[in-house]
Amino acid sequence: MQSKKNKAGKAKNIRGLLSTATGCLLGASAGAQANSMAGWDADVAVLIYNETDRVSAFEPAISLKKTYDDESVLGIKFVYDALTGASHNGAAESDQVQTFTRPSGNGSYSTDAGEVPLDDTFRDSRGNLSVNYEQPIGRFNKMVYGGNVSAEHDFTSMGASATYLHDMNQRNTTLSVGVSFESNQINPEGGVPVPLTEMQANTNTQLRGDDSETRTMSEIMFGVTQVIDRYTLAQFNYGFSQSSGYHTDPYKIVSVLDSNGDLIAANGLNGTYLYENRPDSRTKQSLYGKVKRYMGGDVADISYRYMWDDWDVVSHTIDTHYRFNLSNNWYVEPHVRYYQQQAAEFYRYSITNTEAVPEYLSADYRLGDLTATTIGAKLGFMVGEHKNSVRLEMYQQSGDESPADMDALILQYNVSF
Amino acid sequence: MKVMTSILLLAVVLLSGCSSLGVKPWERDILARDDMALDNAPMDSGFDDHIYFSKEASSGGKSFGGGGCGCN
Repeated sequence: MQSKKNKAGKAKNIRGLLSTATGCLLGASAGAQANSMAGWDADVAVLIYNETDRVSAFEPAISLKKTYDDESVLGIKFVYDALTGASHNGAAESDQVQTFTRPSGNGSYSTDAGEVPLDDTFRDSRGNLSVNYEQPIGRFNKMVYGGNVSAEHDFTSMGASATYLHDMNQRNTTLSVGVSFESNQINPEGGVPVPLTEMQANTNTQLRGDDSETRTMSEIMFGVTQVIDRYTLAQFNYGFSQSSGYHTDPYKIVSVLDSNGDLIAANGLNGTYLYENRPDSRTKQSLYGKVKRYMGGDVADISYRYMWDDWDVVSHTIDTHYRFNLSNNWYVEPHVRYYQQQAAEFYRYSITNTEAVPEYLSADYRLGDLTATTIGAKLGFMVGEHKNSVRLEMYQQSGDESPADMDALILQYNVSF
Repeated sequence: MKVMTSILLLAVVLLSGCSSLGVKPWERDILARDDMALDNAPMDSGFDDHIYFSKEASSGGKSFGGGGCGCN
C-alpha cells in the first residue's frame, strides 16, 4: 500500500495527494497500480554477521513480488545462510584445561583454563524458501497465506499460515486474526543424546537414543492497526503459541562440579558433563505495540514487545528507528534496540554433585538472565532508479556469566530493482 | 484468564476509541509514503528476526516468522 510517487512529504504535491486519494476511493493504492504495470519487483540483500571469536554468518537473500490486476500480491523469498565458527557448548568456565567429545562422538577438543568452552566445529548451511499470497476479498477484507520450507544438515522445518484482515472506520482501523503451524525435524550429528546422561570420552561409546526427534508449533495472533491522525499510525498485536516435542539442544551440556566448584574427572574426561534436558512443551504469549510518526520530513518508529512463557522466561524489547530524510535521494536512519530477559526456571550455569539432578536442566546462556543492545545506522540512497542501503550495527549481549558476554557486528547491503 | 480478560478489555477500549480517530481518504498522502509503511524494510526485519531468534529466548510478536532454524 505504498505510493511510488515522489511526494517528499511536504503536502504541497497536489498531484500526489489527488492520486493517493483517488486510489483510496477506488479501494486501491496508487502503489499497487504502479506495481501491476511494472511486473516483478525484486529486493536483493547480503548480510554479514560476525561475532568476536564465535559464529560468522554470510547470508544472501532475494525477495520477489508481483502485484496482479485484481490487487492480489504474490511474494517469494529465498535466503541462504552459511555459518562457521565456534559456539558455547554449555559447560562452565574452569581454572583447569577441559576436554570435550565432539557431537559426532568422534574426536575431541579442548578449552584452556579461564576460557569459555566453545565447540569450534560449528559449520552449517541453511536454505529457506518462503511464499506469501495476498488475496483481497471485496473492498474491505483480505486473506494472506504463507508457506515456508527451511533445511540445514541437521534440521528441517515446514510451516504454513493464514491471516484474515478486515478494514473498518473508513479504512482507519484494520483488524486481523492469523493462525500458523510449523513442523520441525531435528537430526543431530551423531544421534540424539539421552538427556541428563554423562558425556563420555571419545574412546567410549556415547549414550544415544534415536536418530531424530520432532517438534510442532501452533500460533494464533490478533492484531489492530489504527490510523491515529494524518501523521501517525499505531499497531497492536497479541500472540499465543504452543509447541510440543523436542525442545532440547542436543549439542549443549551442563557442568557438574564439586562443592568447591572444581571439575570432577569421570568417563575418561577431566570433568563431568550432563547432556541438557528441556521440557517437551512450551506456551508463549506476547504483546506487541508499535507507533510510527511522520515528523517534519523525518519518520520516527518505536516498538515494544512484552513476551512471557511457561518456562518463566519474561522479556522486554524496545526497538527504535529514526529516519532523517536528508533529500529525496538520501536518508540516514539510526537504530537502537534494547532487550532484557529473565531466565528460564531450569537454567543453571552448573550444578554440584551433592544435589539431585533436576528433571529439566540447561546451561544454554540464551535461556539465562540476559540483556542485549543493538546500536547502529543505515544509510539509504538512490542509484538511478534503484534504492540502495547499507547498514552497520553492533550487537552486544551480557549476562551473569561469561558465556553470555558476546559482541557481534552486523553489516547489510540492499538493492531494489 | 486474568491476562485474557485484560487484553479483551483493552481491545474493546482501543476499538471504541478508534472510531473517532483517523483521517479522511484524501488526507492519506503522508501515510501512503514508503517510509510510513508499518514494515518499510522487510529484508532488514527478516534478517533481524532470524538473528535475535537464534541468540535470545524470545521471538515473534510482530507477525508470523519465515521459518525456524535448528539454532534454538
